[in-house]
Amino acid sequence: MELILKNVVKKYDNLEILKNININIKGKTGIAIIGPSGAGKSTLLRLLSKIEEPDSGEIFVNDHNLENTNPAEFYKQIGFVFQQHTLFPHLSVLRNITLVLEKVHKIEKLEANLIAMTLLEKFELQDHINKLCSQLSGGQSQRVSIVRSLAISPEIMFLDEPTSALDPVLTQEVLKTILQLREEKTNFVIVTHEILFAKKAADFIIFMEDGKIVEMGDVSILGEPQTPELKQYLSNVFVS
Amino acid sequence: MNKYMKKTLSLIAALSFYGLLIFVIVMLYPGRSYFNMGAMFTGTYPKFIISGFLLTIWISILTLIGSLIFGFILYLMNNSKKDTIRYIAVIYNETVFGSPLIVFVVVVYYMVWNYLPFESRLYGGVVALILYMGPYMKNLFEGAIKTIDDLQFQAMTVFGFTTFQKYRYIILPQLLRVIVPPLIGNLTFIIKGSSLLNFIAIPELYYQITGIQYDNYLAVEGYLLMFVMYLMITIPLIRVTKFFEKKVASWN
Ligand SMILES: Nc1ncnc2c1ncn2[C@@H]1O[C@H](COP(=O)(O)OP(=O)(O)O)[C@@H](O)[C@H]1O
Ligand SMILES: [Mg+2]
Repeated sequence: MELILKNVVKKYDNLEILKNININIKGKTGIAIIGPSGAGKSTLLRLLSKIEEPDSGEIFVNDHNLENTNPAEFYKQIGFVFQQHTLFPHLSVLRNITLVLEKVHKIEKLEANLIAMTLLEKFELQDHINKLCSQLSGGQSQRVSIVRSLAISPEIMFLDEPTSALDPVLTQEVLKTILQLREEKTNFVIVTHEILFAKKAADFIIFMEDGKIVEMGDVSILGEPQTPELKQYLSNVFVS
Repeated sequence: MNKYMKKTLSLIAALSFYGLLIFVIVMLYPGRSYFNMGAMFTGTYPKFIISGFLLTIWISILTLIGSLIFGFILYLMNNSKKDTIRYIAVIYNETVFGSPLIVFVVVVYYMVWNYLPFESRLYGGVVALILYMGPYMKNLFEGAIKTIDDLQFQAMTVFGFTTFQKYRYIILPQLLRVIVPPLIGNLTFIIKGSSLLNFIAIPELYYQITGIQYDNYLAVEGYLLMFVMYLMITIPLIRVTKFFEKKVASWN
């Protein structure tokens, strides 16, 4: 995937949350954004997915110049997974997936069902197709959310701390699902606190602190951090 | 409770309602000296009964619409960032919840509406009912909005649903499921409550039948007739709720 950000600034209530962000990444498949909470990671992800607009600067995602891209059209080509699952509670697991395919992507019912079933099986969720999310565990719900976003074959999947609401056991189950994204050759950008997981799943790391990118590079920076900030951050997370 | 018990119970409920109807029809048979229901339908009485019945329905519809709007305003006020506005809403809601409908109607009508430059008795009564029902409708909105969290709205957006699709497939099915049962509950409350407007001499069903009772001295028959006529409106409504709960539950 290709991500280019030029002098991007984002403010909330006149407070600069993202301060002059510059990124130029080409030909990567998995990007992990790490950093302490409040660093602006979610905000960056929301700008990349055009959920929010920057106050100034330019953003290019693959061949979309986000400034003059129609949001609805752009959304059809990306997936976004939130901290908590966002399954529609009145619909079954299967219908959650096919509704998006049929209504937004105008795929025939039969084919939509086939796509959904194939993916649910691949991700070992086939026993739950007729359940509502109230009948699933938090981990299962989040996995279905991921599959639902994957079903539209997005150019890029954005995941914002998809395991932060889960206990360690369920976290592993969801992380396994995300690792599977790699096998599916799906590009993804994930915000995560799971450093070991980032090491395994990503091929590019962005470390943020205080609204700025302090260090970025391929996964090796997790082993040999160049900045004292990242060194400090890694020593904290590895201990805990 | 299992399925069969539920079915049996609702069958019993239906049977007793229609049984009551048949009972009343039988009593319409002329020439009885007690429970002389036939006497309720002689001369110009049916005309009054029907006009009262229709007025009750009209009052209920106006009140329903008005209180939905007023309730929504109260909901907004109750969630306002301005303390003053929120306090006004809170005090108002508690005043209503704490006062009996009849007292409220009389106070609003005689102590407020009477001093306003409006002529209509009917609208005075309807306004009193609307003012009373507002907080109940506010509660209903509060419950409904909570069912759809913020994250779900964001998810709908990033999937690329159009506004129409969001409402049709995701928001309304969830909202209706939680809103319709209490809404019909409130509507039955309104219908029953509208009978109190006879206190300010509005010729709705209760008022009309009371008039007939004074005319023919048939008190028991009059109340029995009211009983049946109110049930004729409210029981189908309750049935509709049940039907709706089932129907919407499988709506996707
Ligand atoms: N909608 C918003 N309005 C105001 N401030 C916000 C909003 N969203 C985030 N912030 C602030 O921006 C900063 C960065 O937030 P966020 O991007 O969520 O950080 P992270 O995801 O790294 O924890 C925080 O200080 C947060 O309080
Ligand atoms: Mg965050």
